[in-house]
Amino acid sequence: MWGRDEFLRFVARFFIVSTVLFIPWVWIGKFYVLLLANISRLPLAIMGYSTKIMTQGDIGFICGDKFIGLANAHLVNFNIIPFIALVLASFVSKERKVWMLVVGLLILMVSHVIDLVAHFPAFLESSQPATIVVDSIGVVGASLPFIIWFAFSWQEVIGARSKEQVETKEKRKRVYECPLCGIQKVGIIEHIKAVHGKEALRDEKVLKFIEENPDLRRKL
Amino acid sequence: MNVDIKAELQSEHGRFIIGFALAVLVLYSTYYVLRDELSVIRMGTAAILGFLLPLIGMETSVAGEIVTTCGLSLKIIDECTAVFSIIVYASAIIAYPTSIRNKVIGFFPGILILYTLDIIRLIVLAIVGVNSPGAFEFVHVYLWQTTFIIFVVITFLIWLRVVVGREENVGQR
Repeated sequence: MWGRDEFLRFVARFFIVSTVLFIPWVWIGKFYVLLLANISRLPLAIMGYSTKIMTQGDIGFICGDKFIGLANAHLVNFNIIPFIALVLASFVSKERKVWMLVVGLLILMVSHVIDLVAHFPAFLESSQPATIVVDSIGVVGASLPFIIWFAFSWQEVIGARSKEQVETKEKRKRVYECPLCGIQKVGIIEHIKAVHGKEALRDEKVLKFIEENPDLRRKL
Repeated sequence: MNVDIKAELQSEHGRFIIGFALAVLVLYSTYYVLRDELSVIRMGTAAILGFLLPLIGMETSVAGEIVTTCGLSLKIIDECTAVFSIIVYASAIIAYPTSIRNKVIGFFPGILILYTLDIIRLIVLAIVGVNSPGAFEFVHVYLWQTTFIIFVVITFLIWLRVVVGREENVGQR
């Protein structure tokens, strides 16, 4: 797991990178919204919405006689910059950073297209499922960057454990051999109390057993 | 890059990701269904701001979810209450493979930390809004987007390091 110094360096790097990237994003983000709008036209057409994109003045869609504005959408809805900052601030290889960015940005972009497309049935037809999708973008926007970043940097942040190590740890946590009767049990302290009585917890064998397994102390 | 999807999903971090997604789904669905009843969170956040802002010399009034301070009106919405950060953090705690005791230790203090950081963020926003209205929109969006994620990451990593890390070290002795 990361040490304290790595952790502090990561946080500092995150804020530096996010600040540096956020300033150009205010301008570049508009083009990202236009890209999303153009991609969204295909699923919208399949859903029966004939749309035209306005790029002059307030950017947005014209659908029939309705105008659906997209001005400043890049500032409100998207967590692209924090995600990029998380990736660039991480202590992982360049190859892994590239993978994180490619996969992560693709997933984020798909979620943004889904959000944009869902706005049409939500606002034009008051569709309940589409409204739920639109309302959910807040929590999706918060959780996606976090989980994508974690999925890719788990090994570096936490340290990978093999399947055998995980199984051994789980087994060690769950099953113990009773020092008094030899039975293998889940919840060994409860077993000792119930079968051998509370006084048995002061038995020399039990005391030694607990010393050898200190994580059982909290169950006493 | 060859990726064995099945092996990845069965690995420790694969199970964490699936557990995390399910936990987010359940927690958010619960919040969504109870959203109207939980307006008390938005009003409570507004009331806390109404209490704290006068302490730094900003005359403030509160009406439901609207906070008015020095001529600046702020509407407290879901995103202002840290509820989404809390859902993400709580889901990560629930999904992480460790003991129930560790999860409980991380759960409530973590939520308190996230909520406190959110209140600090709102106070900073109010100060910027009153003193530099031109910078308000930028600071609002910047703080909202960056702090949203990094606060969760920081709180989760601290929990991993202080609580889970400590237990695993004890177990290895």
